[in-house]
Amino acid sequence: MTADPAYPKPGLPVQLPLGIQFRAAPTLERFLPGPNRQPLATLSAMAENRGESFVHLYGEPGSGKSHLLQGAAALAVEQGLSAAYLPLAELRPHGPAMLDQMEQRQLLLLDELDAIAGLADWEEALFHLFNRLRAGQKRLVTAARQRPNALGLRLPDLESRLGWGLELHLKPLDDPDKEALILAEAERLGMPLDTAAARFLLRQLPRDLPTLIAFLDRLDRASLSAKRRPTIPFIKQLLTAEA
Amino acid sequence: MDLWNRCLGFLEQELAPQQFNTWIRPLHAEESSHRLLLLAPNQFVLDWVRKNYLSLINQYLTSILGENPPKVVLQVGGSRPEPAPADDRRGPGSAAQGRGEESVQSNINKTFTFATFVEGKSNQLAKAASTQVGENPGTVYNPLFIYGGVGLGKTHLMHAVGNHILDRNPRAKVIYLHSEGFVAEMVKALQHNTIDAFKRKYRSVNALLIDDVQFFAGKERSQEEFFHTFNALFESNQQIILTSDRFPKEVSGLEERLKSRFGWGLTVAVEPPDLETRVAILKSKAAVLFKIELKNEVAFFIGKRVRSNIRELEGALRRVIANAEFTGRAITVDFARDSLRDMIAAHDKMVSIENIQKIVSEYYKIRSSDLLSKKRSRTIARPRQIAMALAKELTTHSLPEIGEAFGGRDHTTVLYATRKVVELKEQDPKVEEDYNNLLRSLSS
Repeated sequence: MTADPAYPKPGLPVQLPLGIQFRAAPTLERFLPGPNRQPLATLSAMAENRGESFVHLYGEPGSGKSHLLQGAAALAVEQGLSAAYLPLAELRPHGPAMLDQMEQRQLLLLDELDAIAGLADWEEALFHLFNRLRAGQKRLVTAARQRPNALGLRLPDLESRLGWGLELHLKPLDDPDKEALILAEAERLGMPLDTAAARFLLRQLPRDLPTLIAFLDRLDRASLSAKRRPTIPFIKQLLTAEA
Repeated sequence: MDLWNRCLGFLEQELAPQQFNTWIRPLHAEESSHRLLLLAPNQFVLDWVRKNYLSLINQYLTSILGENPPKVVLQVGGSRPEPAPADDRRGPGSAAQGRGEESVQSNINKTFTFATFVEGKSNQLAKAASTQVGENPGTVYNPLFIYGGVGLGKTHLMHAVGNHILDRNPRAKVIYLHSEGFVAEMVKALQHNTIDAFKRKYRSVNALLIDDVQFFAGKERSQEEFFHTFNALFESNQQIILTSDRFPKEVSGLEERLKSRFGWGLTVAVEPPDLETRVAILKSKAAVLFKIELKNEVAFFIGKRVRSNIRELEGALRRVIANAEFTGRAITVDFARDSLRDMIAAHDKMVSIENIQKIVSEYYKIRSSDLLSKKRSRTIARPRQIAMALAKELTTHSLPEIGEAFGGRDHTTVLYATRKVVELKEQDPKVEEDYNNLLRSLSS
């Protein structure tokens, strides 16, 4: 049995990658649009204080909603606007006080709306926030897996307001787009991944983007640690070790 | 802003993107030589930043500036105040400052006028009453109470009255606000010991327009204050207009004395618009909001598929127009179908006979199997007739198919049921309301 270079034997000196790497902050520039050029263009305009007032983005997990929202927040701040990005699943335990006075932001981005559907206090707080944003002519982007009327909201007043704006569907990327994304991401990490290896990943792994990207991170660390290029045999070893 | 920008660069490296975007980006910084003031949008964000990130920020400042870094001060607040929205009308009170009068911001949206309100069978009574009130505020119907489901134009009518009053008398003090706004302002006045000014402000207007009064439910102190405001305005013949999602007596969580006062004037309903009105609304919205002329066949196509309320109708129209602008394609029926594909798919999926039977039986609290049974008691037969009428209206199934789906009944039974429901809706407002509620939940 040969040693697994991705996971060296205990006791041997190992070169650890530097520090803990967080993923780079998502930007609109790095968003690979594929079939989603319209959502990208719409949010870019909103981050520059133009275009739509209210947008609801919907799509499967991993379709890029959080990336687009965070990218728009970053661009808006760069443009001198006040913006806030609120991931509701994470904020839910703290209650809706988080939404207080958020109507003062010129662009508000509410992610994971699914997380608060059915919660009366959150729904009412969001409804009032929507009214205040509208009265102040501010912009709002919401994101969830589904269209507003399929989220299971209990407050019809909120549901109808969310359906008032522009609804945009984020469609999944096709395989050539995913391949391009894998290669771009590898390049950003400085990892010399070739096209054949990218295709191999697409054939072997679940093809949702969060899984693929998380694997790229692990591959990057393993390859740095083992001082080996991320070739197909190396990827196979890593997959076997992870299985 | 150099220092804060450097700080941002550091924090962006240190924190996960989501943390950075949620907690750090919303902060607004103001710098001076000895102080870095960070303004958080609300108390919650302030507490969070203080607890989790303040020491990191201080550490960084010390690391780059040595022993005497500026003091970091956290406060709740926004960036510089922004100008009022362009389409707001301000009452004369805003110009009256300095003469000892309260400042009054009218909040009337000048785009909501009678001219842009599309009238149909579903809202003609409410429109007629509103016009009367606009012509003769404080005298004909006081209060005017407009109720109906979400997105049916209640707020539009209310603003239209306000605009009409202001057009006829630009010096009139007209205030529009959502009930939540009234509550929030009152709470603030109590906190700042300005409750007398609050009372004076609202008791001295010529017209007070309060939207969605059902959100007063359970807020006893606000109800009490509103009760006195109501009395003061009513006794001095100043106009009050209220909206709600239901009839005054049915608003739960409101004191009886308020409910009874809400019914003193005229109570009018707005109903979901029929197809022709939906088409007219679509064409009007396309012209007013988007400056385009929508073809009749496209308006009919959208109007037939989006039935629940006007907001959803506008949302569908917005989507078609945004797609057309983005792709540069002409708006045809095929294009609209393509743009609204998933909306239509969800609609078709939802409106199956089986789904109608499920929703109707849940609504009347009977078993779905009862609808298919031979039982003829009224508690079963009436919901069954309503379900059949809904199946005829909402699906493309033939009458024999509908009969078959209801326990193998003859198509003449379906025909009889649909005629009976039309008759009952005209005779009994409760049946009409039930039918409309069901139609709404099946169409949304």
